[in-house]
Amino acid sequence: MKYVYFIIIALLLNSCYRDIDLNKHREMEGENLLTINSIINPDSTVAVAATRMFFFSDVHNERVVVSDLDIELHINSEFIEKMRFNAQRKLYESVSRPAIGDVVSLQTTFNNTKVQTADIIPESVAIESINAERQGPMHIYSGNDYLLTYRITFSDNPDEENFYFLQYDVVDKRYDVDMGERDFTSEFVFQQLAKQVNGTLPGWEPYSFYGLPFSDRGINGKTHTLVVKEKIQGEFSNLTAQKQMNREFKLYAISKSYYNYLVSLLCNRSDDGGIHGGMIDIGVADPIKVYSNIDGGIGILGSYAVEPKVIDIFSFTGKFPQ
Amino acid sequence: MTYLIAKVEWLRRIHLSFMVIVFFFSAVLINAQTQKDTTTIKLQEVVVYGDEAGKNLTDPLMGRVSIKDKLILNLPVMFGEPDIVKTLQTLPGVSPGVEGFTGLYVHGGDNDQNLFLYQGLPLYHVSHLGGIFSSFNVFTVRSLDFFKSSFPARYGGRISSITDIGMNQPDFEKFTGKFSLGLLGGNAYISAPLVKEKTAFSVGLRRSWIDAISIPTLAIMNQVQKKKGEKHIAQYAFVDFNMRIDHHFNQKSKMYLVGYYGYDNLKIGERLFESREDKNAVMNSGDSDEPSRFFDEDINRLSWGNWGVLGAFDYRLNNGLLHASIYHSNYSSSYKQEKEYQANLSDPSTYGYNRSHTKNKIKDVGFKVSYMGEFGEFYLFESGAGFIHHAYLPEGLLNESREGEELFSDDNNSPDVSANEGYFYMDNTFNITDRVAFQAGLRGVTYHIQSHSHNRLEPRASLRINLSPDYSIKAGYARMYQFVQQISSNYINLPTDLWQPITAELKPLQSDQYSLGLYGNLPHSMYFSVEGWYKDMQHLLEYREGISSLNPNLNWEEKLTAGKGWSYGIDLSVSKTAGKFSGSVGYGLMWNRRKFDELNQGETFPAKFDNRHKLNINANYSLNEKIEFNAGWTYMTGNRLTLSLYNYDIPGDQFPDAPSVGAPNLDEITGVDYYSKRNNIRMPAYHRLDLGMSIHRLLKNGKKGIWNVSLYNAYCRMNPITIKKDDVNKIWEAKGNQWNRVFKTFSFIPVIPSVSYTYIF
Repeated sequence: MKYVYFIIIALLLNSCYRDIDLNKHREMEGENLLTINSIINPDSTVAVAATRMFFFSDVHNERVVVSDLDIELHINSEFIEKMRFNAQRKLYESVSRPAIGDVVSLQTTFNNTKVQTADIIPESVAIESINAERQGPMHIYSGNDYLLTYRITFSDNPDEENFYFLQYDVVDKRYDVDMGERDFTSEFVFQQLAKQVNGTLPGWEPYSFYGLPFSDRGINGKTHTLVVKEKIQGEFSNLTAQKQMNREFKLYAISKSYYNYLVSLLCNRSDDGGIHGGMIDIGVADPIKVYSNIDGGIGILGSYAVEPKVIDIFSFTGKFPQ
Repeated sequence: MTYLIAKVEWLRRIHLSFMVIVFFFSAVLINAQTQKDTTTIKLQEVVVYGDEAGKNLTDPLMGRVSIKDKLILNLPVMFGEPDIVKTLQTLPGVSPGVEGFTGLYVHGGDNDQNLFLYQGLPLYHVSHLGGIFSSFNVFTVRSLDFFKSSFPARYGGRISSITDIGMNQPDFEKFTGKFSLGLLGGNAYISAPLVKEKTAFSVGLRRSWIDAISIPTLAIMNQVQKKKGEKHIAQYAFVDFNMRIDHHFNQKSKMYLVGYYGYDNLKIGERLFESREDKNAVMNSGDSDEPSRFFDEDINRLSWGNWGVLGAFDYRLNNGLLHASIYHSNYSSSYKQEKEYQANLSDPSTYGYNRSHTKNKIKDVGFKVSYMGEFGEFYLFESGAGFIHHAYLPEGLLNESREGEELFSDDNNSPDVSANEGYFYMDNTFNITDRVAFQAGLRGVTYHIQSHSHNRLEPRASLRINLSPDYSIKAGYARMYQFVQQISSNYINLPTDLWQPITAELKPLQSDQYSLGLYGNLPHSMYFSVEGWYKDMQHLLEYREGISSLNPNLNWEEKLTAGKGWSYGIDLSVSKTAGKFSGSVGYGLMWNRRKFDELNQGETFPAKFDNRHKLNINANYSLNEKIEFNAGWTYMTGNRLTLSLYNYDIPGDQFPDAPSVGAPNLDEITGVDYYSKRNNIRMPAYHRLDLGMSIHRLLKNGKKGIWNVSLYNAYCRMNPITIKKDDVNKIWEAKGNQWNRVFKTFSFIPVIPSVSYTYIF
């Protein structure tokens, strides 16, 4: 009888996942498509990463760099230079530096296919003011947690469609109070982002370690105050040991292409709480393609401009109580 | 003398020839005559073929399958729950979609292209528990007519199939009923006269009792979890209710009233609150007598279903039937996600919530009058007209959030959309000779929405030629239009997929189907059919690619793109319906394609359910009056899916100052999935064996009990439903780290035994 139980349990626990060999489905297109990635800004020269795609189940531990391309840099439809390959950084680099408002385009040929892309560098946006307030100690995850609320004010340009990215982080990990959990959920622009990511299946919430993009829909031409939070767990943070709590706020202006790219990456995060992400994860939903603006290839040419601002939170809230 | 002998010989030969000719024609006439009867009898051998074989041979309509309740009840299925849609899935030319779900993809069409009529009442989204159970209580079902190639002109509104379910008439003589208890739910049906031979009623009720098990189980778990400050919430139930009242005025006229209600409710989430550890920590710190009390609750609620009522009146004329009916049908689905919290119950300013709500609704009010008449043996006429008022809520979206005193609300409800649909139809069936029958029909529809009218004609034609008493060939053509569609980006049909009407901007879906077939009777009560078919579909709708980058405030129509599809194949079926041993073998061969200008770079691609081969073998053996065995074996070429085979790099750490949302995978080196073509991969083939046994026990006073034991997926083949990419197995090596990336199939349905008991009185 025990033997029967063993068989039954073995059958029932028979792996729900099994490896499958899909090598017969290798495609010419996949083997020969060039990946171009470049994120440009007015504060540095242009750098381009050129790599090859790889078949998912192949052994692949580092990027396969393509180092023999002729990549032309054009700015405002004018040829500027051929980019040089830096073997140490594994990037193609320019000498020229683009400016705000420039249309930057890249052209090359790979395996007899013309690969080209273009993007425009947006105008930077200034943070007009930042305010911080603290609540706690209170219960968020434990009984000794704090909630910091930041209000970041800026003005949107009414003449065009604008896209942004907000990030805030500790300045110096050695001296500043450790960074807590970023919470974007209260802010209107990120609720608009959640609507976009979820489509008609809500579930994704605007949390991120890295920051989040947003657009000017609903705030076009207005002076808007972003309200975001930081949750600090008292038991895991060096609250009273550190003498300062500097935070750097970066409100990036990003190009439309880069915004579309970042949003499509969010839509493909199958580890989020959304129903669609979960269904992508188990493979019963149509996947959403990551946005690309590379003709004849894949990847992204994006651009940004930023004016970071650092504030000392303690100047608003005082130090944490002992 | 020689002349006389020659003349007599000549006369004898003429006489013999004449007799042969007379005998031949007599035999033909006798057989032709018997074809018209519902029971076919051969001269030398008395073999009763029954309705099915007769219809198979003589019905001019192709692709029509009539299924009786016995077949539905005997088919071994998952959890032992008889299911109409799962029975239809075993037919050739019908793809079931993803295992376990009641999808129906007929002759290359999509799941929303099937019309389900429950005694004339149209129903949308006919499934419970995510499609594991269908919406129809089989105890209330008398018959089922399924059309997949040719369609009588009285049907319209969907381009792939019609399922016309006939309810059991109530019992006018005595009180009868059935109860059934299964693993996941119970089923009851009773019928009784109110006024003998005049008025009678029947009621059917089916309810799941998963919650009867889950609620007390969760209560016990939550009692244990309480000290950790956690409470888990999970609840699911479905119910469907059917009602019918019949009244016979006299031999010629009767009326009936039908009611249907079927709904699912799912609730899942968790609540966090102060735990015993929190209390202890605060008390030990001496800061306060009590820890701050809080709560944080996250709940998802999903509900969907149909309800409707229909009243009908029939009047029998000398050579025909007059019918009138009026109905109201209502479908709705709702998904709510609510996150509610208060960090300190003593401080109202710490209260907040985020709520989002998605709704989809359809309300239909319609009436219809029709007349069916027989004029001699040679001409059958059917005609009718009707009107339906549709009210749609195509996409209701509400987002609300509150943080202390600040309130945000974003109501992006698409406005309600109303449409009026009027139609007329006529069907003419000519029995031109004993060998040849021809059916010609026409349906005209006008669909008025948003100040725009779509006027369409749907011709239908079928021809049947008897080659001999046992063989016939048929040909058919049908054009169909559809004015509402359920758009989905999933491979399984979910209630959260929205039903959306065709508008002034979108054209109605259209199909043209051509069929040709050979039908025949075989020895030993068997019959067969071989049907070839070709279907052309226009104005199909899909979501546009890159929908994530589109404006979320876009109207729902603007998220869609139109294209076309075509499919073709052969359906082969051999059936045996009489005798101790009965069953059927069905084989389908199919190709299924799509083409959208805005999808897949405008190139043709295979449809998701492009199942090249499908084989179903069903067998039923009656050992004696008490014991019956059933078996079913299914083989199918795998479904298609869009799978990324290649990955490409992200900017990542090569651009450290650039804003980033992080790598989509755990490892930056894995990069991003690259999708080349739609539905580029075919899943491994699917096959499954189901076994069942029914034990009938006669009880006192004519009552009966039936035990049913079944084994779904008897040899436990873990049929994969999808393929995914797995990159979490990292192997540490001396030379460096190495990710072990593999493709993996995912399966989740093992062998499932079930048992149920039915009590009939």
